[in-house]
Amino acid sequence: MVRNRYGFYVLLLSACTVGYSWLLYNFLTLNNHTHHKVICLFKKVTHLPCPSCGATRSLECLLHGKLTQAILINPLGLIVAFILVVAPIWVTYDLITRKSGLYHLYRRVEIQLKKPVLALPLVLLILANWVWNISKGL
Amino acid sequence: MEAQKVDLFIMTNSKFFEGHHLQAIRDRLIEIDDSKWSMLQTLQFKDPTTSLIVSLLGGSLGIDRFLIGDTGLGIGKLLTCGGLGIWAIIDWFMIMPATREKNLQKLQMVVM
Repeated sequence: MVRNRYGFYVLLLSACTVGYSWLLYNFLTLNNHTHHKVICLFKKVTHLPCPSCGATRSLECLLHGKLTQAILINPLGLIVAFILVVAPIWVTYDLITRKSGLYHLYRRVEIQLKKPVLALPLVLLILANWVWNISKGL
Repeated sequence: MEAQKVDLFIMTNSKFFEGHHLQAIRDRLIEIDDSKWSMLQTLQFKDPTTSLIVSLLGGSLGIDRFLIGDTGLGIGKLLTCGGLGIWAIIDWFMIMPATREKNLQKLQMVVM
């Protein structure tokens, strides 16, 4: 799927489009945080939140300018927001200037993340966030 | 390499690769030097069936993608609850070919 630069950029742009559409749909149809649509397979099956459940609510808080509340709902929302903002700009820049900076960065990060020194703390962080999500009852 | 050795390799490892790649792999292995045989034997391939089971159970957390070495896509799936659940379902069907593709890449690293 990401064997070459274009495959990666197409995938990233489509993911961002879906992300923005999903966010817009939630923003337009739901103002009340208690009646959120559950789309997460994991939550539907187990009735427990997955590590990234609450990311949409977190992003909505960010859109309303409530940074602290966004972090309290799910800190992963910030990472998603960062990717949603940076990725389309960087991809457009790369495509216009015919560079592949983002693709090379992705490849480098992927190789680095396979090292246990880096992977283990990140996995532990995700697990800690998961436990936090379950205890919050998202 | 001797045809007998190559056929032994193909027979024991055929389930790790796409059927239409096997002939090309066989031809390439016959061409290469005998000294690569020991390296070939130490290669560990990922079982497509295992990745399918992992995908069915932990696909929405991206564990299947982490397993086959697609760390970036794994993070993508993890952060989006399995791509809003859609990507997770697509990957139930995509993960076996993707695993075989990864195995081929691994083999190519040694053979090329």
